[in-house]
Amino acid sequence: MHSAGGTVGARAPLLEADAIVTGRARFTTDLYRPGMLHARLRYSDHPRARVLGIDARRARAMPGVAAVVTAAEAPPEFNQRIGLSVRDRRLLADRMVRCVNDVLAVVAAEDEAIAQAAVDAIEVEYEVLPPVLTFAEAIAPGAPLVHEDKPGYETADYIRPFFSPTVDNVATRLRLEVGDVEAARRHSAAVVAGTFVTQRMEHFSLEPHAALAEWDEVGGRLTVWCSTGKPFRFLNQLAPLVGLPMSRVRIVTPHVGGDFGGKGQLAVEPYVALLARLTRRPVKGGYTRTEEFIASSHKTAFEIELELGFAADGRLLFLRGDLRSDTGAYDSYASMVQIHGATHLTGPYRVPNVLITGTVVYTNNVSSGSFRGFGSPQVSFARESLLDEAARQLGIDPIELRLRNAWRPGDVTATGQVLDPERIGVSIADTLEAARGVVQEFSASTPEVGGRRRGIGVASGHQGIGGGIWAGADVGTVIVKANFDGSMAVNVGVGDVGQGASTALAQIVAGELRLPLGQLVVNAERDTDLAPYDGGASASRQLFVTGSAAQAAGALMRARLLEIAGQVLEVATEDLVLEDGAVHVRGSPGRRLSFGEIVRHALQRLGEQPITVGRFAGPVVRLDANLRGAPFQAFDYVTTVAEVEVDAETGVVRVTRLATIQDVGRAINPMIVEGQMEGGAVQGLGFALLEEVVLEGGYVVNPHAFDYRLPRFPDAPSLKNVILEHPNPRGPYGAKAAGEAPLIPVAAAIANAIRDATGVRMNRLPMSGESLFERLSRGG
Amino acid sequence: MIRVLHRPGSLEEALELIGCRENRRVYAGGTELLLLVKLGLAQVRELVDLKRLGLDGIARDGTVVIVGACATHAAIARSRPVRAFIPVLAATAGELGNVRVRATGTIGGNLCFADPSSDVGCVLLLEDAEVELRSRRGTRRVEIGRFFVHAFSTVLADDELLVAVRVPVPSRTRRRVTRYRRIALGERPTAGAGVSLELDAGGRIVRARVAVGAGNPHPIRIDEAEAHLQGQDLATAREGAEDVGRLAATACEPIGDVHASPGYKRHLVGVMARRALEDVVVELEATRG
Repeated sequence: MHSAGGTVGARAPLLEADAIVTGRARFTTDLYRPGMLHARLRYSDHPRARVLGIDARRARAMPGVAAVVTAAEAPPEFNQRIGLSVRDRRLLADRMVRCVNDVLAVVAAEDEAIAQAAVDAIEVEYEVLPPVLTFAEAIAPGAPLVHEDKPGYETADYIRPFFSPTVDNVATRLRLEVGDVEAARRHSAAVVAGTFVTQRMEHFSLEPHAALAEWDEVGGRLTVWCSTGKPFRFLNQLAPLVGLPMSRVRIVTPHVGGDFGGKGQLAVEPYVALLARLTRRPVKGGYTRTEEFIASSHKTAFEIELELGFAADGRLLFLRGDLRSDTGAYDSYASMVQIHGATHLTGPYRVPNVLITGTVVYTNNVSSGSFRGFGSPQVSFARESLLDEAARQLGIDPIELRLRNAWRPGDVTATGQVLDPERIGVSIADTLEAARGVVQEFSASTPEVGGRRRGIGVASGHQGIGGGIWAGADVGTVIVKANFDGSMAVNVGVGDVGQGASTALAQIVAGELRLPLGQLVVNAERDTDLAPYDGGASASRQLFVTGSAAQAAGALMRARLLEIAGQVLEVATEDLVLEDGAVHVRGSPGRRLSFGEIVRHALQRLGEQPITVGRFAGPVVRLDANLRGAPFQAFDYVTTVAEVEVDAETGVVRVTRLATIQDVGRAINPMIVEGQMEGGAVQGLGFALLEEVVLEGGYVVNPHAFDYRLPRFPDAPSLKNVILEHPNPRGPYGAKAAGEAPLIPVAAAIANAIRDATGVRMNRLPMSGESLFERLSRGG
Repeated sequence: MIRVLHRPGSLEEALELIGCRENRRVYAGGTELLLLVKLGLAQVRELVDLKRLGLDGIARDGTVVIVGACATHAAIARSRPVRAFIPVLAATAGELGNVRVRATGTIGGNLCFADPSSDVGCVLLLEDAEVELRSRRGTRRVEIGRFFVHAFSTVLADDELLVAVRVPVPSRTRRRVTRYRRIALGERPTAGAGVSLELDAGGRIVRARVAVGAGNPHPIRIDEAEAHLQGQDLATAREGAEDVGRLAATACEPIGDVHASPGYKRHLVGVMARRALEDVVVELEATRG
C-alpha cells in the first residue's frame, strides 16, 4: 500500500467547519436573487377524495400574488406521472387526492405570508371517500383502490419484476428462496419465531428541504439551488419534468444540513422550477418543519414475521421471513427499501435454507421511503432479537452463537454473492470478538441499582456498499487540476451533507500528492454544469466509489508531475521523489522543482495545464426477479453492545452505555468516522426508544418537535467507539464506508439489554415507557 | 402575524397598554407564546414586552422571598435567597425545559401560560406561595392554589399583570423538607408530584403538603393524602407511602398525549408522589437532630 504522507488517517477538522460553527455557511434558504418570489403549496385536506373543483379566483386576485398554478395550468410534461419505483404520482393532483401530501396548487407571491394567505384562499370542493389506512385494510378483498389505474402504470426497469399489475392495492411483491426450508425445519433442534414491528421515523435533518429556481430567458436555461446530497439524481429527475435536456438544467447544492436518506427524491424543487418558468422571476420555496413531517417521506415501517431454525450446536439451518410494508399513496423508495431489507435479512451469517417473501401495499397515508440504513435497521431488529432468544434456548453465549454462524471468506450470501476475500473482505467475526471485551467491561457493573434493573445486550449488522438494485455499476469520477502556484483544485460531484465527504476526498488526494491539506481546495458547491457525474451520498457508496476515483486522480497527477519534472531535470522518474509540494532528485539534496515550477513549465513549454481525471467503476450483478445477484461492492460490519437501566415501576429505559464496534476498512479521518458512529448510535437510540411519526386517519398527529421525541443530549449515553481497520482490497487506502452501519444494530442491542434486565422481549418499536410498563405489569 | 411590538418602560405604561385590545398579548421570555404563534395556534397582532419593567428582581423581604415575574428560570436557579430558603424551587427551575428555555423563560410567563405540565406551579403549591396581580384598579394577592382554573386558564383578568411571586420562608425552628419528582417522556414533563413535610420538635408531622403538577390539567393539592400524613411520625409516613401515591393517582385527572395514555400517566403520578415522599423521609431522617 502506498504510504499517504500524513494526511490519510489524520484527524483533520472538516474543511467547512469554521464556516458552519460561525454561522457563515450559506444554505439554500439563505440565498437571495433580485426580484425573487416566494412559493407555498396547497395540500389536500383529505387522505382520499374526489376533487370536484378548485376555485383559485380569490387567491389570484390577492395583491402580491404572481401566480397560482393547478394541474389545469401546468404544461403536459409537468403533469406526467413520476416516481422512482412506480410512476404513480402527479405533482399536481387533479381528479383524485390519495393522501394529505398531495399538492393541488402552487402559489408564487412577493412574500411568504402573501403566498400562504393565497394558498389558504384557494377553495377546493371534494367528494370525501373512505381512506385505506393499514396494511391489513389495503390487502383485504374488496378494499377500496388507492390507484384505480395501477395496471397501466409504468415502472423503473429494476422494479418491473416485482410490480403487481393487477387490480388491487399491492405495489410490489418479492420472493427469495434458497435450499429447502421445510426440510431444514424437520432437522432443526430449536426453532424460534416472532413478529416484529418497526415504526415510521422522520429524518429530521436540521435543514429542511429548500429550493431556489431561476429561469434564464436568454439562454433558455434553468438553475435550481437546492438541498440534497444527490445533485445528479435531482438533475435526472427534474429535466424531464420541465421538458428540457439536462444540458439546460443546472443543479447547484450549497451547504447541505443533513440528508439521512430523506433528500433523494424531488420535493419542493419542481414546483419552484415551474413557477420560475411561468413567472420569469426567481422563486424560492422551502418546507416548514411541519411539512417535513407531512410532505416529505418517512422511514418505511416494517412488519416482519421471522422464524429461525438451529442445529443443537447453534448452526443456523433455516430462515423464513415475511416482510410487510405500507408505502403510503406513492411508491418511490419503499419497494427498494423492502428489497434491500430482504437482501440483508439473513444478516452477516451463513444460512443454507432461506425463504423470504415480501409485500408492499398502497394506502392513503403519507409517503414512506428511504432512511439511513435502507431497510437494514428494520430487519436487524427482528433477526438480532430472535438470535438473542435462540441463544437463551440453546444455552449458548449470544456472541458465541453469532460467531458460529458468522460469514467467513468464501461464503455465499442469500442472493448468491460470493464473499471473495480478494474483493470483498469479511470481518463480522472480528467485530464480535472485539465485542467480548466490551461485554466484560460492561458486566463489571452491578445488575441492580436503587430499583433500577441493569441489562446488557449485543446485536450485529452489516450493510452492503454501493450497487443497490438500480445500478448496473458504481461509477465515480474526480478531476484534479494543478494551479499556476502548484496548489490543486479538486472537482467532485459527490454530495457533502455534513458527513465530511469533501474533507475525506481532499485527504485522499493530498495523500497521493504528499501535499498539506491547505494546498487543496474541493469545489464547495456541487454544480452539475461543472462537476463530473456522481451517484451522490447514498448507499454507503461515496467513499468507496468516489474515494477510489479521488485516489486514482491523485495518483495520475503525481505521475504526471513526476514525468514533467523528469523531463526538466533530465532525471529518470524512478530517481525522483515527491515531498512537501516539490519533486526532489533522490540523493541530490537541493535538486528540486516545486509543483508551481513544474506547472509553469508545463504551461509555458508543453502547452499543458496538468489536469487528471480519476475514475472508478465497480460492476455488480444486479438482482434479478428472484433476488439473485451480486449487487454490492463490499460490506460494512458492525456489532453494538448496549447497557440499559430499566425503571421497573415506570417501564422507562435509560441507555447508560453504547459501544459501537465497526470495521471501516481504513479510517481516512478517524474523527469523521467517530462522528458517524456516535451519530448512528444516538439515532439508533431514537429508533429504539423514542421516535415515532404517529398517523391517525391518514393525518400526521405529531408533525413537530413538541410531540415528536428526538433524542437530546441528556438521553445520550456514554458512547464508546471501537474502529477496526481490515483494509478492503479495492477501497481507497483500504477504506469502505462508515455512515449507515452504526445505526443498524442499535435497536436490537437495546431490546436485548431490556430482555436481559427484565425478562421481557419487546417486539415493537419504539419501546416506549408505557409499552414496557404494560408488559411488565402483565408479568412479561 | 405579529405587526407591532410595544416596549413599555414602566409598569404603569404596561398596565395602560394591556387589556384594551384583542390580539394584543404580553410576553417576557417568549418561550411559550412565540412558539404558539409560529405554529399558527395563536393569533397575535401586537406584543407588549415586559422585560423593561424591572420585574426581574429576586429578594428576601422578612418572612417571604419575592420573585419578580420576569425573573428567568436560570436566575431563579442561581439566586442565593431561593437556594437558601426554597431549595426545591431552585432545583426545579434549574432542570426545567432546556438551557435556552431557562435562559429566557420567566416564572411569570410559566404560571400565566398555565401549561398543564408545568412543574413550577406544583412546587409553589407545596410552599404555600402567593402571586401578586396588578391592574390599574389595584393590587391583589391570590394563593397559588386558587390561581389556576384549568389547563391554560387562570384567574388573571384581561387588564391584570402577574408582577411577583411571594414564597414564605419556612420557620427556622422547624425542620421542613420539600421534594418534587417528575418524569418527562416528551418535550414537556409527563407526570410530576411533590411532597413537603415539616416536623415539630418531637418528630411529628405538623405540616404536610402533597401536590400533583404534570399529569393533572393544573397543579392540585391532594387533601386526603395530606390529612393522612398529618400528625404521623416519619416511620409511619414511610409505611404509608404507597397509600399517598395511590391517593395522588386517584385524585388526578390526566389528559393523554402521544407519549402516554391517561391511565399510564395516572400510574406515573402515583409513583412520583410515593418517591417524593420517600425522598423527603430519607432527607429528614438524615438531618435529624
